[in-house]
Amino acid sequence: MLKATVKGLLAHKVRLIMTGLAIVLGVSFMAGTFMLTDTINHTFNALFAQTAVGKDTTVRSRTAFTSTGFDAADVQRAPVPDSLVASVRAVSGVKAADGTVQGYAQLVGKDGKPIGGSNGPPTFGANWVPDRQLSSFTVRTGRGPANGNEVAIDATTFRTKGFHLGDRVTVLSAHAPRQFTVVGSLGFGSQDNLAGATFAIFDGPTAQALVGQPGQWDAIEVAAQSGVSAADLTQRIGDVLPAKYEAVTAASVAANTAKSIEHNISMFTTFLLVFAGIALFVGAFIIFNTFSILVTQRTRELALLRAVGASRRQVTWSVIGEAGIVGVFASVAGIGTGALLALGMQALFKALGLGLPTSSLQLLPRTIVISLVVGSVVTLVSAIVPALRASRVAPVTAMTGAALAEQSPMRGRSVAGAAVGVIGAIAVAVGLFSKPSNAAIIVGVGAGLVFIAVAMLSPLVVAPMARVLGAPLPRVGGMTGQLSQQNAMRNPKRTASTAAALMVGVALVTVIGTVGATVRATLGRIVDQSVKADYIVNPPGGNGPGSGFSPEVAKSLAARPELAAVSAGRQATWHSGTSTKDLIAVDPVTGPEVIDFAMTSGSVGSLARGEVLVTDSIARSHHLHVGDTLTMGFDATGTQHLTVGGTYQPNEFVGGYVVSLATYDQNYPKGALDQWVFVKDRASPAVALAAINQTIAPYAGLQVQNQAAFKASEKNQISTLLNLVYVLLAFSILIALIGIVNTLALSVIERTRELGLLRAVGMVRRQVRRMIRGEAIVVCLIGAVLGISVGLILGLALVSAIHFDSGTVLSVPFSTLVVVLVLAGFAGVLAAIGPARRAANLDVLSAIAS
Amino acid sequence: MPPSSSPLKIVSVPDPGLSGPTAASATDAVKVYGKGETAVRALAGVTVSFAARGFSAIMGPSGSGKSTLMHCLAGLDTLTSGRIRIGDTDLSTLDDRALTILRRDRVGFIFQAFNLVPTLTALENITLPLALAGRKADPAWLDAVIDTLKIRDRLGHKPAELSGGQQQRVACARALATRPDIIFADEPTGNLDSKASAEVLAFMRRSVDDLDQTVVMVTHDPVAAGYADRIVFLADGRVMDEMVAPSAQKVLDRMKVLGD
Repeated sequence: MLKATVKGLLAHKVRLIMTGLAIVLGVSFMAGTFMLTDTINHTFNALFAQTAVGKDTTVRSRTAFTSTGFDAADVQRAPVPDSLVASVRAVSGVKAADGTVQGYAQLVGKDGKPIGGSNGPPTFGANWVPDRQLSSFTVRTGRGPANGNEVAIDATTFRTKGFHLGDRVTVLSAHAPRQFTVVGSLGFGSQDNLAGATFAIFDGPTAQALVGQPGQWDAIEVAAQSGVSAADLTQRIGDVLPAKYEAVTAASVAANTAKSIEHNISMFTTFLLVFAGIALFVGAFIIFNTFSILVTQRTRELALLRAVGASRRQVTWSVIGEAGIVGVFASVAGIGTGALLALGMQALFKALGLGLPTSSLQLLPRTIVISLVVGSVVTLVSAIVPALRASRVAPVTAMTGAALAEQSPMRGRSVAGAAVGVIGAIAVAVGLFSKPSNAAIIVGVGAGLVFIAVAMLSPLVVAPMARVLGAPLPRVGGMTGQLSQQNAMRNPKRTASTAAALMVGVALVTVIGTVGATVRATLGRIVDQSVKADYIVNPPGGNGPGSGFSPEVAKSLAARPELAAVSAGRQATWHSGTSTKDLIAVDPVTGPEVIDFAMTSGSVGSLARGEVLVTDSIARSHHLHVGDTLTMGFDATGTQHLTVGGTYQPNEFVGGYVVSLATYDQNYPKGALDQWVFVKDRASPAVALAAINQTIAPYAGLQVQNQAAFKASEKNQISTLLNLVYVLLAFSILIALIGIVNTLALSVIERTRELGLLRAVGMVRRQVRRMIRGEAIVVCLIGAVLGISVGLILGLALVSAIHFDSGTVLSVPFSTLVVVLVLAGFAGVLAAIGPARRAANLDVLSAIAS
Repeated sequence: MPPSSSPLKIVSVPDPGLSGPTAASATDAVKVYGKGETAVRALAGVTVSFAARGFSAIMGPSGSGKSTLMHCLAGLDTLTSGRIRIGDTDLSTLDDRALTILRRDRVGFIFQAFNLVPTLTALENITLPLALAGRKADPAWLDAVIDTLKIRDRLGHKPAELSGGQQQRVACARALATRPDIIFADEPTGNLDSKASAEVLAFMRRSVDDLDQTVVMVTHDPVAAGYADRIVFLADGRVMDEMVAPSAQKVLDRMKVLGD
């Protein structure tokens, strides 16, 4: 029987390659994700291990909070004073010790635009450590900075931005822009930069002043004398430190940093794997469909096998065996193409300027095992139903030639489909509205079941849908169009499962589009309601994590007589027990003039007394009233007790907690940066705008937006995310298209005689192509309409589950849906190219004779 | 021994007995399949013509080239050398598109089986060539055809709902619908029982006699051939003989001779 299986495979090479392609793409997405993120992880591990070389111990302030996850690398500990360096140096066994400080600084390029930043890799300023062993930096050209007028630049930025030794360069920081002379380019061991970040290196006091506080370091790095172990040294130093400081091994710091980055990357990995999973799910539809058609077309062959003595079980296993072989080969190929995909992504990152240091692609055993198992299992499971159907072929069919009833009764299928649909819908509803701990998984599985249910039930609606959606075809194409329409309806199950593959992708696009449109509309309303400022100053593209711009900007703007009210806005995170929350800080006097807090109790003015404002929904759930104490934890200052000064109406733009800029400065001591400056004008808009522009001109990279533009850019951040998701979903849609090509090609083979007849009685090749194309368009439109319908239902369910405190503005992205429909029709045209050409080029005589 | 009267000579066959224009003709038609030593000469130089408004049969044993001749006459296949004409049109000058349009507009087909498009009704199948051309049927003519073939009550049915004989009648109607220059029938009764065969053949006869059509039929059935005005016998890719006003018995006798 194995021989028959292999022969069967070889007889349908092209079809199986096409079928396998669906799995290849899904597996390559998954394997590529693993390889890409493993490589990034590996790279960072190597980098941080390298930056720890030469250092044995790190001395730093203690913090009461252990951050995990996203912010772990960003902990803003309290600084250590210069004086502590001397005490550390005095410990026996210390060979060298020096302070380090790092923070936001951004170089301005020769084109007058700031280099890096925004949503790209961070831009850092740091200090030059003269001791060669302690320093993470190695000099490539020139030398390190020796005084307050000099800067050294990472070698990548130095090279790509066309700097030369002796150039004057402007540096943006928390202070007013300042000019420095470039005296050197620096690398990190063998690398020219650190994971794409740009670095500006100053002498110690300058770095302290620019990115930290005068006389204060972030930490002290220590190297041991030979013969003293890192653990010993750390112990000895720890013994002499005041209680508020701690000594840890440099290796553990590096490991922690790498771990927090790994955590961030694993979120990225999961995000991508979700889309790989969707692609495989769509691939499963294709496998199911292709094997169903192949079994139907091979009815006689299977009956012959049964007639000459093959058992049912043998027939079942021959089909499953065929699927297994396809699955394994496709998975292996998928791993190969996954590597190409990962390399492509690396190249893309590089092209986008996210110059991740190159490292060889990491193909871990885990990647191979998971890819092989998942790819093969998906293929096998998808082929089970067709295999069972194959086993039901009666031996007598070999003689009678009756086609296997692909038209098995719809009744059982409808009942099963409805049951699956109900279970799926319940799962989605439970996941969305009762919010269990693993809601995402429950909703995902539920949505998957809904898709399967729609695929099972849709044969019932295929004929009417083809009649409606294909109605223009006979009008445009006459008889050819009529044949297209009828071909799409002649085998409703086949059309339904082909369209279902496309439905999944389209439904997800619709869900994302609906959620996105609603969030955009809601955001727009929130900005309308809460932003009273006429103008907002911020960096284009938004603020990257940990970045912002100098508070000097707000100070200078406040001094302009043309402007009525100016308040900076800052964002930060704080600790509430074990969870991390956001707060914003504004000026207590001008803040309420530029942002509408819609107070429900207490007063905005309480901010000036160092009190905190919370939304009334938070106040309710935490039983807080004006005058109560809220316990807030900060990395630098530990646990603080703030008085609740007032409550306001929930508002996603402001968030849950508001403090004054002064309170912020107290608890975030290091080089505070503003994220926005809100401005209300006093003079006419033109005069005010001119004043603002004049003031921000020295700060390269800042823009001023009026309220409408600000609203649009806030909304656009959502659009950018949506576009990324659309691109990732395109993979699934591509796989669905392969399925349509597959079904069409198989149908062309099946209808060879009919095509021969049509050609004989006068259908010209162009008409043949048009007929196949029409059928493909109808199938794609059915898939798109099913997808949009399911997607709208799921999307609206999801939207009603997302709770906006200030009320959701429901929005359906009609224009996106129209584009989807048009693209679906176009996709049909694309999918039909190959099969249509094949059908048109059939030899008329042999087609009739077949 | 063959009867002395039998004209057993290799001849080019002009159109004996029937006058009038020529509907289709082959001149020195040669068709070679394959190359080199494995080459097969399916047609080894056939010259034959078919008069308009005649019912001709082409007969011959398997491999005689009768189907190849019909395919080439009908524009479904092309000659290696020689010339085919439908009316005044030399088919060797036509490309695929022009040949297809010629088949659509000027030639009717009746195949042995699978004559009809399963998704179309009988009426849609009948008017298919016209629909492909984007033309409307001449209603009077269509009515005449439908009545002649007695299929009026079947027009709305799909092929799967028709008997074999009904399907072949619909196929006849389709072949007639465009009022073609010539109709080619390839073993049109090969899959039918004798009663249905007789009906279909009688209709083909009537289409010539009553509707002034031209029919060329390939068959190996002497009874079917007996309906024709004239039979051309082929063997080994050549015209071996012909017979005018045949009967089934005469055909059988002749085939015995040719079969030797």
